[in-house]
Amino acid sequence: MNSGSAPVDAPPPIIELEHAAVEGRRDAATPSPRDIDWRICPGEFWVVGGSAGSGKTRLLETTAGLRLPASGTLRLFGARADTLSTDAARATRRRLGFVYGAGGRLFSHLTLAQNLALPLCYHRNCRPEAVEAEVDRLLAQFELQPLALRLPGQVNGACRQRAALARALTLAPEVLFLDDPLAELNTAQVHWWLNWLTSPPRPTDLRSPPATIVVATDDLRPWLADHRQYALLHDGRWQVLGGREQLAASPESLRRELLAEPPVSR
Amino acid sequence: MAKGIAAAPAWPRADPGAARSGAGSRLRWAGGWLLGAADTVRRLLAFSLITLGVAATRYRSASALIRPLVFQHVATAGLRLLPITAVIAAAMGWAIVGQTVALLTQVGVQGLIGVAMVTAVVRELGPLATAMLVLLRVGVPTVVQLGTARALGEVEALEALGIDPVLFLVVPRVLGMTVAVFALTAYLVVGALVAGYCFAFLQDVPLTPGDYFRQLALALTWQDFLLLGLKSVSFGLVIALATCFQGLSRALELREVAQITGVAVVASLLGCVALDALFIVLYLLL
Repeated sequence: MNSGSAPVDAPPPIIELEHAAVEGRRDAATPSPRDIDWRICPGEFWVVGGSAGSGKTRLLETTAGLRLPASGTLRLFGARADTLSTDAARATRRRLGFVYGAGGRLFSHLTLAQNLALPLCYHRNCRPEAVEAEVDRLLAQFELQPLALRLPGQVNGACRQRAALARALTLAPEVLFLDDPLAELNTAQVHWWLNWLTSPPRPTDLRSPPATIVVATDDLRPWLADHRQYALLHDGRWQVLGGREQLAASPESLRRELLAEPPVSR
Repeated sequence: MAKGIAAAPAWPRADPGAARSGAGSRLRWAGGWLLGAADTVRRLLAFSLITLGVAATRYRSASALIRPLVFQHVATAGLRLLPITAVIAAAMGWAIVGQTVALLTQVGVQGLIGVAMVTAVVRELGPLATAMLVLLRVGVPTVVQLGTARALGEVEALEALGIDPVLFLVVPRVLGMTVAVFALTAYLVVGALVAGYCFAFLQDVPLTPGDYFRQLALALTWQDFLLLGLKSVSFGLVIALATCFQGLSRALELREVAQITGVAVVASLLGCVALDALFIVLYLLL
């Protein structure tokens, strides 16, 4: 079990948390995560496991620079997050895509197409007509074109989640954070997501998955694969486990909780 | 009967200590309320300064997206309220102007018609009625919309996309509502004065249109135009900032949206009344 420290010849981390504590929710039942040491290097695929209410979303938001750690240090692309100016922080956020769970938090009064056009228009300072073709291609890539003019409330959760993924990718981020993206999805949709994340991009695709991906989940089973890094949040404690073998060697109670393994009979 | 009264248990006497503690708790409550109100005002002022700062420095960076939103909010807060403003102008003309003109004519002081109309309609009722209309028809939906967006995490999602929520959500609403209150006030004042004369005419008041409007023109001074413009713009700013502030200023849960809507309405109302008092002092000074 390593502690998140990189080997000597590893590339420099693009995101680094040192002794960080995550600010807790007002109504949190479990202690908020603290004493987190985590280095995310380019090209890594991280899966963070933790039961519901363990603070995964807040940890992901903190790691993505959306909120500062309550204590400790966060470095984004080598710069301390607490020293960044507002403009620099916003510029950094464009390099980090974030997809929230449970429908992706799309803007409920904008159509799916408008939701996708919004970040493009804002950052390019252009009118929606100027990005129409790009939005159409994105909608087609994510199989959402027939729903382009629907409001988020008029489509199902799986389509909202895919639209949120497309929206997060509009700015071609270098790192993608996925907060429990498979929750509430059926088997076919889960397959679509896993396939999209692992398959090589098609020539017609406008956006492909970024090289660095961080997923938070309360069910690790769909995410078990080689060449992935695993970390766990349990009772406010942070544990970097390492690869799949180290995950298999983790305590039985954790495996039972996150891999739905039956208890070992003695 | 008398015996019954005598036998009745005596009224409970107030315990002086309890009275003191009751007064103490009321004092504590009042002190807490005052401190809370002062803190809210401080945060509202900070929010207003941030909004003005963002509007001044960042508007250009996303003007192609924000400008149409400003026009959209001017339409929502202004153009769509024209019919109801016309109805209110007619009602105000009938209830206030028509009756006042008839009354002043009956008592033979037609010469005061212009002054009375300018004081009642142009200085006071026009701006205040318009502000209340915009608060109820536009301010309340603004709090609900922003509060719901905040409660559902849509605002955090905007920040995750590097979008400034103040520039995207607050600035267009503030500009839209301010322009709308200003324009609707002018519309309401003119509508009420014209409608008032129509109702006075229907009551056979011996006053020609020429006399009526000449008296109005004589009673109006440049201060009235200046302060009417300033007042309506201030009311629009107060309503827009108070409603946006309540909707966005803190993390919310959906069940709290109704509560903050009420708070925003009361805060806007108090803000407008306080500004109105300030403008009365200005009228007296000028």
